[in-house]
Amino acid sequence: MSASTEKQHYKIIFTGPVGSGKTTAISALSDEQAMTTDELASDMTKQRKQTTTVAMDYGVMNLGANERIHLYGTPGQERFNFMWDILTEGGIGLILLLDNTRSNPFQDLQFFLRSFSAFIASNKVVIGVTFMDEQPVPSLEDYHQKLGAMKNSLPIFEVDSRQQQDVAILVQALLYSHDPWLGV
Amino acid sequence: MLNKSAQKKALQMAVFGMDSKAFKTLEFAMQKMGNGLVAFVSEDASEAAIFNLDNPAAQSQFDKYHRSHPENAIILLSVKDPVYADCIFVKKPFDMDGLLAAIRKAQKQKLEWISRKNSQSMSKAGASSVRIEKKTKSKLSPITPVVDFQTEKNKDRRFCGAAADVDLGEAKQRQSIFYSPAESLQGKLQMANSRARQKKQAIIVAIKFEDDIETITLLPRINKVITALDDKKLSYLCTVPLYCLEIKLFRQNMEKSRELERHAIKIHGQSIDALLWKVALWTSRGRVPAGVNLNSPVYLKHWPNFTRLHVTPGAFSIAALLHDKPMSLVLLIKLLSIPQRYVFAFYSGAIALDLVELKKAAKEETQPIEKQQQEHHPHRKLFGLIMQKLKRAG
Repeated sequence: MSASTEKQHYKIIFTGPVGSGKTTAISALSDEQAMTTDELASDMTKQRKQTTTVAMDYGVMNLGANERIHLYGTPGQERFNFMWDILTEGGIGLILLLDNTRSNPFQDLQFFLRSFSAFIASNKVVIGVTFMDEQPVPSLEDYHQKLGAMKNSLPIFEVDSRQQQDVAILVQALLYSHDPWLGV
Repeated sequence: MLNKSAQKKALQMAVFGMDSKAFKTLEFAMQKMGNGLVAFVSEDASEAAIFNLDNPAAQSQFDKYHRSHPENAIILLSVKDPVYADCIFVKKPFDMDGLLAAIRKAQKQKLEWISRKNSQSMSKAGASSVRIEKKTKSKLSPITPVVDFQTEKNKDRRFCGAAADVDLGEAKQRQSIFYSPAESLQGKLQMANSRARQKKQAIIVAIKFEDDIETITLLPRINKVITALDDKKLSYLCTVPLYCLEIKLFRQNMEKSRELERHAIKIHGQSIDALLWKVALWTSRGRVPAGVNLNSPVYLKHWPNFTRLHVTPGAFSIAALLHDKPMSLVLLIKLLSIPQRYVFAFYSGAIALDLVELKKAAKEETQPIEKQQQEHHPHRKLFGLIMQKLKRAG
């Protein structure tokens, strides 16, 4: 295959705790049926959803003849975090989804930002908070304050991961964080 | 040179935002005192237009007309201060002399435009004379609202106005970009929200206009709103001067507040931020609150919650830039090369949500405007493709 026809591959990584909507968000954007390696949950995860992603989610956005963007979702459980470094390799950004109905979403926020700190240091991250319609507290303002206390400031949005428009806004915010002049 | 018939011809004027009684009065007055200066015609045959901007439908009609007939002079009648720098403004209450002066000005603009057009045509075609196309007269068309709430273009006009850019260095033009939130429903809502947040208790804002009473319940603890007001009516109320509204605030006790919160969650009420954002956009219509220093660097404390707010044109770029580093609005407009009204609309929304932080003089722009430039990401092309893809999908 010649260099000109060789497909270029780039990644956007979706991460977050179990049940935060990563699988659904990837499905909302993917051109091909998103692949997921869900299996029946057999541990604590079962309390939150019937199946859980043990390896990863995968989807793809075809951008034209030679370019496509791969959408990878990390497994939600901590015991699979050995995969995270592999997954983020070549990533152009990270989308962190947080489930507002979990007992301590701030703990999740801290955990994931710490876990991906190496990637975030040289890349961009945006945060989507899911299930705020069911559980409006903590509010986005609370998240911003928490991030401020962590000496951080990131774009945060309320998200329904079933809504393609919501997920698209997360991706747009990620791209504009990289290059504010995109539309210019 | 214009021929005499063009100079003497009555100005073909369309009228919007007047009921039949008001129109008859205007027509009668013009017959008596207008001395053939103006003839009232339908939009299609018009060379100029008068808009009664205080009519609920007139704003959208104005937007449409301005877009469809950019060459036509427009006279705006309103109790409010002028908004559009490129229009002739007559503040109510007005007398006939004021209105006639405005019509003469519109006539003059028309003649100047014809003259410009003629000279352009002549230089283009090398012709020695150009005939001025005559428009056929027709009856006045019924005044009906034409707003299409669905199209993105109309949405942007509704949220950002239609004002042309002004020379920000020219004091008179600069004045037209300011508005006073305190003199509108926006100011009252912001004040009520601030009080509700302080006490962490619900506040019901009751708004009486003409014979209607509407309520907006603010629930600061869960950032939700309960209201039966639809966008169309709310956007109209945003344009009504405060003295035409009777607004009362009713603070709810803790027990009642919790009950209302449970109800708001059940009905998936919109957020207070979403309400304040759109109220600010509808009130500002592409302007900024009076007192804003366009040359002072400002910083965005955090991005607006774009998934639940109306995303105005250029909003992502503006948010990314202002969140990254302090920048003045003047510089922002120059760097982004977008209409001023888009930057001003965003900024007014951001102020209403308390997202803006002024930076001290020490952190003011260190480089002169002309030296600052866009810095592109190496993956810009790829990002552009993703954006196109997302837009197509949306």
